[in-house]
Amino acid sequence: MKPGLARRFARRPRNLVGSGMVAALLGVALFADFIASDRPIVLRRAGTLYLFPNLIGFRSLREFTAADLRPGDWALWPPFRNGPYSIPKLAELRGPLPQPPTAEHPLGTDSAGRDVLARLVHGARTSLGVAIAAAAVQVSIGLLLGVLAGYLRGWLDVAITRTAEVLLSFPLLLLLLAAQGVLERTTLFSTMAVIALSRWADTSRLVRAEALRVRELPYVEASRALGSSRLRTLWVHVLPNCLSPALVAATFGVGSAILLESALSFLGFGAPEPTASWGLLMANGFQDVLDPNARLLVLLPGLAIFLAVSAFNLVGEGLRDALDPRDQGAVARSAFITLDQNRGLSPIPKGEGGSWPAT
Amino acid sequence: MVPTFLGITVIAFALARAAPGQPVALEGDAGLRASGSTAAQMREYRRLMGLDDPLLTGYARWLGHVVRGDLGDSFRDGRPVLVLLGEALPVTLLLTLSSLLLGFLIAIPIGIVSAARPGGLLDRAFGAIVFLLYSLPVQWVALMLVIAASGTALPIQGLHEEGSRSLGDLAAHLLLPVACITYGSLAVLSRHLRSSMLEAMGQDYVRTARAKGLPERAVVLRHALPNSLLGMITLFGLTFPALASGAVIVERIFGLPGMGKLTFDAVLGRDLPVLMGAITVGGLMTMAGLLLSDLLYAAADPRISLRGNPA
Repeated sequence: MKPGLARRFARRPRNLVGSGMVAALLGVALFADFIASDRPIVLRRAGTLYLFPNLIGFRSLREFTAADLRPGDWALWPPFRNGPYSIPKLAELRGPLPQPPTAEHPLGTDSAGRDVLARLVHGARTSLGVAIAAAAVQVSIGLLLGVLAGYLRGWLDVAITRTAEVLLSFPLLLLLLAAQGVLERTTLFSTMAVIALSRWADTSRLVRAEALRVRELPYVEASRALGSSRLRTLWVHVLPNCLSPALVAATFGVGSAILLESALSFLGFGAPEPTASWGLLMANGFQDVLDPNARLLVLLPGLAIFLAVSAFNLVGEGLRDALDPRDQGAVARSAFITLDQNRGLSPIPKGEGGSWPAT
Repeated sequence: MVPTFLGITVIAFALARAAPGQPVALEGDAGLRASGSTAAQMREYRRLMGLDDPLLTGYARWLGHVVRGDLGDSFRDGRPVLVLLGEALPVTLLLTLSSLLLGFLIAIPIGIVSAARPGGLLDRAFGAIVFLLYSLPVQWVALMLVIAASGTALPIQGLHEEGSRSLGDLAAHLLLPVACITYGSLAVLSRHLRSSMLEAMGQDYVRTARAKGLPERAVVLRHALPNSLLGMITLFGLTFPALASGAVIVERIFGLPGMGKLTFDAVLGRDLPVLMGAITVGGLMTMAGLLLSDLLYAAADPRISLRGNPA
């Protein structure tokens, strides 16, 4: 994309730490079924070999438990042999729920008796899945609208900028809560969609500013002078050069979408039960917050969210600095693009206020 | 200002009209009685929302009611939405404005110290701390504080003890909620001040101040700081929506009867008039905050005039 980007990015150790954390989380999310599942990875039973029962729900294995293994059968299990959804039978229950950590449940259970470790591991999939999808959608919308607004100007610019302004003026969680609340039932998809549809304005603003700068550059003028249509100029010259702010916004967007998804799920208007979600797990702990056994239910998912969010924010910050070497000296601009909602109506005239870094 | 207001109302109206299972569709049905609504309330809602009119006429009709301050009555208890909002808004404003104040009080010294020696130990330590705080989920911090405070005398529920109206009691109840809303804004506020101060320190007038032999302390505090603080005023309005957003969760956990709790209850009870009112006022709150910071800015900086465009 930009020459030397990878080199500049890798120069800072903390960027590598952030990328490593992101990679590890993605690994956990992708391979959740191989880390914690109540079904084996490979199973040989009664002469039949089953591959990946942890992924595929074989009909003949519906009632299968480890106790069904006969001599001659064998199974390869994931390191943690609890699934995120299995609820213990009432008769097998020992002691009140939620349970403190035991040998069987290394991090205890939630108030329905489900294994916390398994729900944490599978929660990574929910959290990252929703957040990455939301960030991808919101950035695509924001990129497209931002480029159109900044390059074409005119009434389209006014319409897009105004809409963005309206979206930015709602307290975000209030809007998301209301949008999810009027739906008949919330799903992971609706959670992703409302986050994406209310968050594109951040990206479109950044991209619009970049497009405004790019459209005055000589190569754009040259393209127009050569007779390219406006759409071709936009697609071939303006859009690719507006990708850097979009990329940075996408990375920060994942972090903030993780926070939003967990907040919505915590309120009961995000991931629906019985999805394994970090926010739902905390809501579960909130029910009996004064029960010492429930404290792990609050503590652990919070730490997971914290790790995930800071990982993506670290990478985002690293990317921003690597993409924009002009800023390196001053380390200018506020450190956190996600909250840097520059408004069009800002009372600071360009080049006056003194405090705004020149773009 | 006006287009933004219209946009806010469009979104509030669209949300309520898009809601599946409009209570009105159930008129005379058993579902109505189950939700505790009466036929009269339904007719009232129908009139307010212009549900018998085409979409645009319906919106115009509703908007007409809104600008006259008629937001309808709650489905739940039949009280006017305006009254409910009037009870909830001060609580949220109290929360967010105290957080804003506290945030500035903490962030400004951090910003100054960080900018005084960029790259120094304090700068890097504060940078790391605010970065970590920024990544913490509000509900987690709030719950951890509840757990930590549960054994102590610190109150963790409601706005005041039963019957008590003393200021000290109120402050004790606000302590934890305000802390939860504040910590996330520290990053934005302190880093912004830091970068604008660094920008100011590169300016000619700071070099002049140094050249005439002023001690570094005076250079930073008397010359670089005032100009940078000016830029912070705009952040005043910008951080407001973020704080109000955090208040939704904090109000739920600490049982505070503010806008977030009102919205949450309205969503739970499918109380559409309250929901629309809360969304509209939520948007207006931010607009008011932005307007306020514009006015403050104009008051603080003589170069800015509200009438003409000076640039």
